[in-house]
Amino acid sequence: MAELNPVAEPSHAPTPVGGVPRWLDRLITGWGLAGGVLFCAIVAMSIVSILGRKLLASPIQGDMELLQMGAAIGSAAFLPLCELYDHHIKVDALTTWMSERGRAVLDTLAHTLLLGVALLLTWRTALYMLEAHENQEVSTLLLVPLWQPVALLVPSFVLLALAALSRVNASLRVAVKGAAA
Amino acid sequence: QEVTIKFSHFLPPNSNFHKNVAEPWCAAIAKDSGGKLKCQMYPALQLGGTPPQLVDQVKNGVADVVWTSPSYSTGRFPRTEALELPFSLPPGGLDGSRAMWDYYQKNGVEDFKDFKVLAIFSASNVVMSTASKPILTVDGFKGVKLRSPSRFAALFLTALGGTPVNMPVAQVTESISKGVIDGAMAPWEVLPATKIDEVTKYHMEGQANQPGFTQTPMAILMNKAKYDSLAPELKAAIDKNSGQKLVDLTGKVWDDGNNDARKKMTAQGNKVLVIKPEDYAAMKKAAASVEADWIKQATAKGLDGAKLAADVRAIGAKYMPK
Amino acid sequence: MSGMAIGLTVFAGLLALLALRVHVGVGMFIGGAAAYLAMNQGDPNALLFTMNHLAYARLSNYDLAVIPLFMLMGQFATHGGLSKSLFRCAAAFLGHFRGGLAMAATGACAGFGAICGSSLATAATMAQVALPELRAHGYSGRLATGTLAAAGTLGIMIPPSVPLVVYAVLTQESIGKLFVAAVIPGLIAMLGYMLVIRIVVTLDPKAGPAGGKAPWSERLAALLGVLPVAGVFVVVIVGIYGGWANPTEAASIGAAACGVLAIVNGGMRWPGIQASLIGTAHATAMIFLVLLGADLLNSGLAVTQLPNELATWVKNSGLPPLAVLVAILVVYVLLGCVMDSLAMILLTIPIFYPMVMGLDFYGMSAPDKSVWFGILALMVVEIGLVHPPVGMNLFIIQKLAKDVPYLETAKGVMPFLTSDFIRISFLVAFPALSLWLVHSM
Ligand code: NA
Ligand code: NA
Repeated sequence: MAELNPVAEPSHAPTPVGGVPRWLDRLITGWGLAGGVLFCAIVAMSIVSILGRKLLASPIQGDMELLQMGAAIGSAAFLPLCELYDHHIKVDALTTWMSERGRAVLDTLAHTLLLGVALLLTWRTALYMLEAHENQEVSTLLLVPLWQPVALLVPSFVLLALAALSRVNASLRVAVKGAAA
Repeated sequence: QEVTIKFSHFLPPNSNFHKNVAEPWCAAIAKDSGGKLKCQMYPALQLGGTPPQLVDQVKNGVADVVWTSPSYSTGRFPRTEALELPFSLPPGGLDGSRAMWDYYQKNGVEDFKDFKVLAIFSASNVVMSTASKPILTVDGFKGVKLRSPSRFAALFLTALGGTPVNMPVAQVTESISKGVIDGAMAPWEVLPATKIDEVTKYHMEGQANQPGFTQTPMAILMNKAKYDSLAPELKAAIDKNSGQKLVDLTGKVWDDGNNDARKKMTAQGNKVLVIKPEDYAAMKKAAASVEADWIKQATAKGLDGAKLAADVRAIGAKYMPK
Repeated sequence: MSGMAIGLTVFAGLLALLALRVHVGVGMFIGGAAAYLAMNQGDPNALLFTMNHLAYARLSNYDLAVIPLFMLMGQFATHGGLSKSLFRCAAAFLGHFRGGLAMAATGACAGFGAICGSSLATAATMAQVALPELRAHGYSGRLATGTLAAAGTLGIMIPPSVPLVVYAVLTQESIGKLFVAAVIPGLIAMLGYMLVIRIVVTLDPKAGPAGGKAPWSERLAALLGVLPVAGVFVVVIVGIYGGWANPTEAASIGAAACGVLAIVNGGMRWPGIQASLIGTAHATAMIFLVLLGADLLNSGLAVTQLPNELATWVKNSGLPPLAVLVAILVVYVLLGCVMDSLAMILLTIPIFYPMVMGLDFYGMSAPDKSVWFGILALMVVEIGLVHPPVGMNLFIIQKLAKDVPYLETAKGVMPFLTSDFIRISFLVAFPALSLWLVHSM
């Protein structure tokens, strides 16, 4: 199925795919949780800013910048978790007639391509970070150096690559052995 | 041989800039190159990214020419920031643009060493627009929440005791109509384009022969390698239509846009209010801290902040209408 | 090759990749990259530099930040038990009618949809609460699952709505305006589904037997139980329309209100919070990977000029505008057979939007046309969620209703699909249904 609903399945299986090292699962889950906590912090910041603006005419200065930086870091942190549990959206209606092995071959290809995209994004985002550092770009009001929030995206893409690698490994095993590991 | 210039900017194809600056400029270089130069337009950020990234698009050759504002990239063009100092440059599009171009040639070249600069010009002075209460004195700023379009507009508002609010331009009209904010600071031309004119009633500006509150520099930049790769006669076609000529064109287009907007708004019953000289002087005094702070920051970066600020004022005075 | 030919080739290649189980976001990314490379004669420079800011620009978008915030709000509402009190209240008032419990489930879905931006989450959450009750009261499996699969789509049709946020970002339209425009069509959808239930139980009274009439004491208690939900709703509405906040901030207010409610009223503790955050992470990430790929695809297609040229071609073709619109809607229904709703919006809006904007419909102004088409697109991609063979809502309901065969669920949803098609025809014929509220705000 293309899209599993996390609500329908609140139980978070301890090992997402066969053969994923426990440390990686923990790291990626923890990183995703940290992203969630960051969004809670954004919510709190927004509430304080809205109340301050409405009641005291003094919003948090740079609230929009903070929200944008936080949202970027937080949403990126969610990507590896979703890949590790294979929830990213794909069309699988057209391959239901295939054998499990046939689908595993295609999935190996799909996750390999995702791995490639993750590596490209890691590389180019890191370059952007260096570029922003060199150009001394800062945020408009708080003067936060732009390279800092950009830098915090890089670990997310590295973890996304690792998650994709685990998926490649898992699909490949099914493709080779012809049965679920 | 034929060369295609990829021209990228952030406004839609029906915008004043696209119709009255970008397209005529492209037509002119096509004509002067005997049809060898032609433009491929990418309005409305069709090449992806956000407005602050246009400058990297042209630097890296994703686009060949962009229109952007140096003020979108705070910190990256430190000398050019001085052009935004409150109460420094004439409010008009043409006067302001000529002043900015002069200043750029004198002090700003180093900021843009990675680019072929085609024009630096002014988006003209910002007016203050409010929905229900005019701001005519320094006291009038107390507790007033205005959307500020730039860092310096925000600093200006803070110095005068107002509350700058930062939000995407697309949300401003809705936010004013619902009372989330009291109004906005923006150049005249932007008001009808964003329908802010429909949700605000009062529009405050200074005397025509006084410097404006603050103004945003704009830049039309070309990729350096692309320019260098052109044959001499194609370079000449670009040169002929750039620099002072392009600066004057943009200045006039902005003045026309501002005048049209003003006329339209006056006709529909919006109130244009000119702040009295003594109150204007008081505002200027209250905003002096912005300049002092900027000089300190610029000096910390190793620039002669005081001299740059003085230069902006001197050049501004030169172009001030009598 | 001309830009147009490159664009079409890329698009065909992309569809092939998607058919071969490549992730939608990744397929779009590759398609965009291919367009860049082809247009630059293989020189990767422009492509690589475009990738530099791709991730940060997209992920730091102020409007898109509402998506994780809505997800958080919906997760808190789910884990805080809001769905239960909604259904109980609706059931207390409607349960004694024939088909009343199914109508109650529909009403509860609409109520939940008012605080949740996602259709799947609405279907799954309400099904967990309502399915057992419906089955226990003797409702046929077909009606029970069909109702929940269809009514789940109210999660996106009643604002807030994630596909509308994405449409707004793609077309630079106002999120607030689109949400307002969706209110009346969303309510019509709810009433339409209730009417369908009414007709089904009239034809087959055994499908949805009437229950006992709840005493007023019980109804009152149920009403009290639903007060917190109403409270959140009021807070969000006051937040937006009372001049406190813009849509992004209102999403924060809603998330905070649901979070506090879930903790204070629903007894949510750390495990529940953790589950909410993980749920938010999955739901958000699924969307954002597609958004990242779509970003590159859209600029790649813009370089080929395909969207512009197609729009110009359609405009000059002399085809009647309504025929073009219907053709577009049919394409959505077809794509909906195999594709996710959001992926469809991201894939097609850059192509279809310029076409629609270039045509004349009833002499509508450009801003009106843009809002109207947004609501139409929303309504028609929503159908993709419930129509067989692949409908995400069907699958979710299927997982939860293990005793009902898939074929029964698919059959059960058919009458509801009919009401969807009728509603969409009305929206095409009478743009005022979406625009009236926008104009009167
Ligand atoms: Na909703
Ligand atoms: Na479907």
